[in-house]
Amino acid sequence: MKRTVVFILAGGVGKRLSLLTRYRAKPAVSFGGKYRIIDFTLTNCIRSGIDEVYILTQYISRSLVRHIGIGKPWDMDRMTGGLHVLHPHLGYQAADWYRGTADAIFQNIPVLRKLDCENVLILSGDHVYLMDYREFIEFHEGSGKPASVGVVGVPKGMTSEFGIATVDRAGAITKFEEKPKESSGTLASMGIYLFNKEYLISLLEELEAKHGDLDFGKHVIPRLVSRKMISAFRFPGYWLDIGTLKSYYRASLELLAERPRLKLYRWSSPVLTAPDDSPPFVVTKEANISNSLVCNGCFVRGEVRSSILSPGVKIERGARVENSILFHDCTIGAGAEVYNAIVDKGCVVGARAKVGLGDAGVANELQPAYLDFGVTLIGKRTIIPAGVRIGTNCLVSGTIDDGIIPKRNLPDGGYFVAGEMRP
Amino acid sequence: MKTLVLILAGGTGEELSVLTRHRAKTAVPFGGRYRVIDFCLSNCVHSGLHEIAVLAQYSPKSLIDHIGMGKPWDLDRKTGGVYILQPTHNGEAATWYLGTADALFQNIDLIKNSKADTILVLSGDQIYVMDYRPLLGYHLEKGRAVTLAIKEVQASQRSRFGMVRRSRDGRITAFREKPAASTFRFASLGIYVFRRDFLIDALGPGKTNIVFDVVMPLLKCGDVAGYAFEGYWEDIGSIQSYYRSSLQLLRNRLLITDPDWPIFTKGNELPPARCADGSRVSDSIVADGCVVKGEVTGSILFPGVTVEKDAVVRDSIVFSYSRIGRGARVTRAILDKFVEIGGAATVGGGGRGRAAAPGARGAKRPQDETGGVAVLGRGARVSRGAGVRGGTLVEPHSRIGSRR
Repeated sequence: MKRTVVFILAGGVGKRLSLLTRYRAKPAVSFGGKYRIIDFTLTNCIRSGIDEVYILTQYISRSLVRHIGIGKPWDMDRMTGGLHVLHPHLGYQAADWYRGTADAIFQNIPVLRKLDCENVLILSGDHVYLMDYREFIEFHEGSGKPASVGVVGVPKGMTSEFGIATVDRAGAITKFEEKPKESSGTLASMGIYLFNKEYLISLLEELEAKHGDLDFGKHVIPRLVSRKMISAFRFPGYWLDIGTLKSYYRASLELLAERPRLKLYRWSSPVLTAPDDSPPFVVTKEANISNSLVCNGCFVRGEVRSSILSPGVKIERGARVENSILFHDCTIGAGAEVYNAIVDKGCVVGARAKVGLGDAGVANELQPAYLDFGVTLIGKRTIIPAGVRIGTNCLVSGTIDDGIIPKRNLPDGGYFVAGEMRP
Repeated sequence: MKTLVLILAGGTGEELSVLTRHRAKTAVPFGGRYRVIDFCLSNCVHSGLHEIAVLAQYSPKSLIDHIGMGKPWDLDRKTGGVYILQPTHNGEAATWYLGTADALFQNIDLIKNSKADTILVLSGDQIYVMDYRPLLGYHLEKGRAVTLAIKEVQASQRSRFGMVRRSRDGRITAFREKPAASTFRFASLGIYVFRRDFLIDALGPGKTNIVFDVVMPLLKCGDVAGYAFEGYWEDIGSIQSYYRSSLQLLRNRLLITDPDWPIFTKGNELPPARCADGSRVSDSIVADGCVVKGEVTGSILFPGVTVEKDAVVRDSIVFSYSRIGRGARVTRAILDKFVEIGGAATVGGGGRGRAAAPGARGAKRPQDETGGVAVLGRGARVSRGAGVRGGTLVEPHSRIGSRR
């Protein structure tokens, strides 16, 4: 197998995740309690024997860069190779933000040229899956084509959410449709690409002349298909693109299933993430926990059902949490109730407050397209005062820093967002 | 003032029986995710002490594995840091460390070459949270050759400790090692601060024990000070005290949950703990990677423990990766790592000092020292439906109730 270097696209805005990506890049969004989304891709890399990784950041990268550090948790703090962050920058020549996924790679062609490798594997920082890339690389090298894309089978009804490929017997892609309403194909592009390095450089240089906002799905793949230069590698495992708040919520709670499709509990190959120093979790006599994931540093005195508690969460006496995802260091006050909610980092739900009960049929007023499935989203470090009632499909964000705290009750579909928030 | 820390971690820990067959006493797991030595290493770091030598001798592998180059304590440093020193051959006659003072003497070059003017000697096998800065400040202020950390203990406990008498001006005037009964109120905690020059002079061939050969001779000239410590301090001296101080954590949780004084340890990479549908977990400490489908109360589970459906774990301590089978009952027991309890098996419980399960291979006669707690060594396996009674000590890797 030839040497492969990885580029991870981690600069997207992730607008459809609403408040979750208001203060952080999508790959840095918490998942499964103790992980961040990018952990899965980084873990895949090191387990596949790839130890040179470039992460392309752009949108609010502070928390992402802090999380990744020098790559220590993934054994990527290396003398040679290792992990590097490539942010858009000023230089002697024209500089610009990354304007598209392929444009981000184009702008880093000088880095690419210097690399001692044959293959360039382009991954996305916002996918949740466990994959050995060596099988993909072997397939690619045997395909005789300069480019390959990873694909997964999807049900017929879901083709409109993906780029759909149709392949011939040899695996070469004959047709590629971007989010078709209806399609005869059921193979969806995972948005992970493997290129012959020299071929990639010349292709990007050629296409960049025509499209300033060069994008893999929109421009690069269709061009490769029309030239019959790309094959599809079918990945048989579980793969998920965290696209929307709904898919995020569903995928998170699916981890609670008896046999989740994402195999987190294989001792021999755990998912790697930045370590934390919190103590094991403590439950008191009055606590009652079932069907839940609970991380180190949690302190549970109340009742927790079908929920995910990230490190450092406190559930006070008499509190009740159900079907919810609580990020790091949240506190749920005594007697408070939280149902069907995603509660971002450091939130405090005051004593006897009630969150998330109501009519799921009323979509959110501000973001009806993202929040209409019966879940309430509470933004980072929001404080909900004691006794306040908040319905379902609500968006709430207000910190002490903003000086704005949601003091009043919020009906179903309501929103209370400090500062500006795009609909 | 510059301080060099020497941590004594060479003891065999025989008194911990099957728990120390494969590991140093200082590397015994404690509190759901820690090893005993994490407490004094974390104390050092929080006290601003960054030059630490760990003197190891017995089964050091577990300790070397755990401490590594000191990363979890931010002790992987260019200057100072943590290093493990084992007895070495110096070209002439070489011996094992013959005692606490001999361990220091064998490393006297380290002390001589150090730029530190103060040497803090600690025991690696104690559970406590202590800021060493007031102790070091007291030592400077009193200006004695040695300062001992001491703590008031109840009369009934005095026979376990080295008891000291302290005069009004803070000097130690008498020392009795483990007296049957004593009117002295203070116990020496095995925490010593030495003036470097004094320590270099005091060590030498034939001087094996810090208390008898270094501290005692100084009592007459009044050159020993006593610093009274009032916080929680526990010496893991027996299975019974290990069991008791572990479960005390359920009440005394600030020891590990104080956000201002986190205990640092080597990380693991396990997923969050999973409490399955129908599980009951209460009054317990549970680490990452545990999968609980049964009932857990009054217990401590280390990372990666599995408790199957209908199993009950009560008042017990279960080390990493052990598995408790369906319908099994574990009561008042300590299970070391990788222990397998078969379905419907019964471990522990019952009265103190009952006879061992009949036909149990590898199981010792019950001993009073465990106080009725069943202790299963690393990798021990209890077959489906078999029983291990309270107070039984099961050697590592033995099989109980196997079919042959």
